[in-house]
Amino acid sequence: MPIVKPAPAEQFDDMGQQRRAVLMGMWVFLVTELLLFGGGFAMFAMYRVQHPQVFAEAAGHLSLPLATANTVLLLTSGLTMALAEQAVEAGSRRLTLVFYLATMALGLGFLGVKGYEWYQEWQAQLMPLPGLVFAWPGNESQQAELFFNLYFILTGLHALHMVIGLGLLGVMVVLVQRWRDPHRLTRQTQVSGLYWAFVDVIWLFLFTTLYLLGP
Amino acid sequence: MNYRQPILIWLGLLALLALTVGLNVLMTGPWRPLLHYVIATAMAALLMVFFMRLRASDGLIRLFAVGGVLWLGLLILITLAEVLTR
Repeated sequence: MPIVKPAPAEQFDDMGQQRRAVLMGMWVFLVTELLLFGGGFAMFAMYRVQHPQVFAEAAGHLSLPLATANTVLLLTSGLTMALAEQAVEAGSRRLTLVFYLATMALGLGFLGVKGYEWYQEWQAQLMPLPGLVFAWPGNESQQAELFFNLYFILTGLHALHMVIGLGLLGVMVVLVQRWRDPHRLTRQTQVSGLYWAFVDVIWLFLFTTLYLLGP
Repeated sequence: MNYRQPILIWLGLLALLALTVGLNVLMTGPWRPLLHYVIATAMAALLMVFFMRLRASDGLIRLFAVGGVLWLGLLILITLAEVLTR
């Protein structure tokens, strides 16, 4: 079988240019995503400064052990994703699949723990949804409700990104399974890896902002 | 394959996580939030430089990454400046 030299898409001069354009495009997209989350962070910072006491108290009602466990899961999935990138570059289909599946399992674990946390908060009547009773055991109930609104919006938006990331990884598993164009798979894996690591970075700041600024 | 570097970065991230959670449990006072954010920034930097490969990226991509963080910083800073000086 003749060795096929990878050819760039029509609009590019060479593979190097195509690769740089792919990564640049992904970074630009991630920067817009950063500003989407950034609006949420700015809103949280504004209210945190205005209502320091009740926001700290509300943070104390979240589960730090579960969130820490989730951070470990997510950081470990960042490792397996980085290893998937190395495996695809090394041309090992089997290892790439193993690391992709491990990343997905860890991501699903994260969502499972997050879901359990939400369930606990729902049971504690701290979920500010229409039709549900919001029972705050303290003063400044409205401000506490604001905290939980922001908490559910920010963690919900992040969980949505995790679901999209898992969908992306699911598609990649099928593509790696077929293993048709390794050069293309390498680029696709790098782009998926950027997205996954970005979701990881966002979580680090959500974890710090929501869980660690307690009393 | 080079497993060493990603695993070292991962261990570093876990150590920093242990540090920030430890601080949360043990420390009180006005400096604690600042330390939490310093550690979070260090963890994010490790992720971006190594797992997102900024270390091996060209200058233009680094510029975009720094630009994104810079604009976000301005957004939060100016919002807070308005609230704090009312």
